[in-house]
Amino acid sequence: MFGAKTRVLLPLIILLIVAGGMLSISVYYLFSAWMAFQRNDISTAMYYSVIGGAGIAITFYTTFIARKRSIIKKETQSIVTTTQCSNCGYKTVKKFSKGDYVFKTGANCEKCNQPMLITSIFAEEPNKQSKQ
Amino acid sequence: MIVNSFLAVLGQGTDALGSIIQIIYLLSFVFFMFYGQKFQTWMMIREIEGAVVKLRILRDEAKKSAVTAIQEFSTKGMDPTPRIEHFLEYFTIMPSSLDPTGIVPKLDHVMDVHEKRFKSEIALMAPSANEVQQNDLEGVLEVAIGLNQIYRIVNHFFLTGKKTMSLYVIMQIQMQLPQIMQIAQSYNAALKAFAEGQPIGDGAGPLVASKLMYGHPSREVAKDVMAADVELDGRKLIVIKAKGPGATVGKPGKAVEKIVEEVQNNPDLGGGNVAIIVMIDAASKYEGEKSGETSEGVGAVIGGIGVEQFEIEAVATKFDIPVHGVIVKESIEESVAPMTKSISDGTEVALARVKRIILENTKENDVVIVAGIGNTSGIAQ
Repeated sequence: MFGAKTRVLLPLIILLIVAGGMLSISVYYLFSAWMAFQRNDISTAMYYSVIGGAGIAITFYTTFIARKRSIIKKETQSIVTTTQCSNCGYKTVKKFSKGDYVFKTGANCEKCNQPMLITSIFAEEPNKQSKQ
Repeated sequence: MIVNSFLAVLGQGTDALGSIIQIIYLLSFVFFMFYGQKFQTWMMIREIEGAVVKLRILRDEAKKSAVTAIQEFSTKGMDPTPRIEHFLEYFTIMPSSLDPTGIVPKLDHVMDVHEKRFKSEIALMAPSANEVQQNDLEGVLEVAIGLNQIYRIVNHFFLTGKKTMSLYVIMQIQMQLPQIMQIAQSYNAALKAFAEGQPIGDGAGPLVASKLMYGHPSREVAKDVMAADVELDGRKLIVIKAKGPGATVGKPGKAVEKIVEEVQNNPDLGGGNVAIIVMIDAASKYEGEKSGETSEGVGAVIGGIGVEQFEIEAVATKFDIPVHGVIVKESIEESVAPMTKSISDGTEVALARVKRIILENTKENDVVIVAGIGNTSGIAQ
């Protein structure tokens, strides 16, 4: 009846509904604690605030754990090709294109019109990409 | 009666709430006492199910990429999908090791048959692909088979665990899941690298060798292995690497054997002796170490199933040739993913180390074999 993705997401949805319910009850208890405090009923206020506080803490912790598990990392790496002129040493860095390989003679140099050589092809590391 | 007492408790305000909480508290103890392990098992099964779904997506993507890559070179109107689907479950049975004497030639034979079968399948599916493209397609297919195998193993443990509800069956796979998923993600990255002919992390060795070889005429000394004669401060270097830029590792063991024999038969070359063999390869780093760092030592630095290592060690021992090794450190995931900048930069350091090792351990007119080991995808010579 359900697809594979739905079957995996179903517990997460149930968890979020339960978490929502727990959060509402916890907020209600915190509100009751405030009301009891207003009435100078300190012991009841303490009692309710412990329940409310614990409920909120458990809710957030559970949701955080579930969120961490549900994230699918999909990193797309940027591959660059470095070319260098064997005559004047002029260097260029461009996006990798299919057919590039190390030590392939590429287009002519912009400065001296001599053939340029692909000297390296590498993936830019993710942290460096995010800084740029 | 129970309902009545429960309602009575409910009617007592704050004290009633306390009693309810106490009951829940006690019930939770009872629940975890009897169902704690089942609950834990259920949580683990859910986690593995998520991984199985992700792996299935990666496997299907890999299959699609393999079909797209092969279709580019296949006969018009021919759909390679059914053949690829059959080939995804391709297996290689290793020779029996009950009596290990003579197992290396048997292993070599099995691997030769494996490679020939792969090449003939690719040639059938993609007849218009040239040698380089065929090697790249072979890499794509190998990765797709690898991802399919990972998926099948994890799925097997998932279904067995679900059937038996045994915590110990499930724990076996759940504990290794982060590493398995990392490997699967890097296989996924490798797929694109092979399909587009990009260098991968394992190409560090061939990259160092090609930096030495570039500009010198090269010849094929063994299957898919190129060699070039290079002069370095009066020493004669015979530099070998897999035949690029297609995705292949070649047979460096056979190449070293052949070169040593050639030198033995030619007394004009270094007095008929190879002075040293220097090998460069990518190697696993420990967690916390930087990728692209290099280190050196002695011994044949080469991975794989051990046939090539055995051959190099045998010839080195027979002719008393010292074997030196330089490694470029990287993680297992990085070794199959596109080469990173730190690894690419590391090859420059490795090259300097190779030159220093040669100059410190040999004299003028000596013959040195330099072997760049690894997959040469995207690296020519």
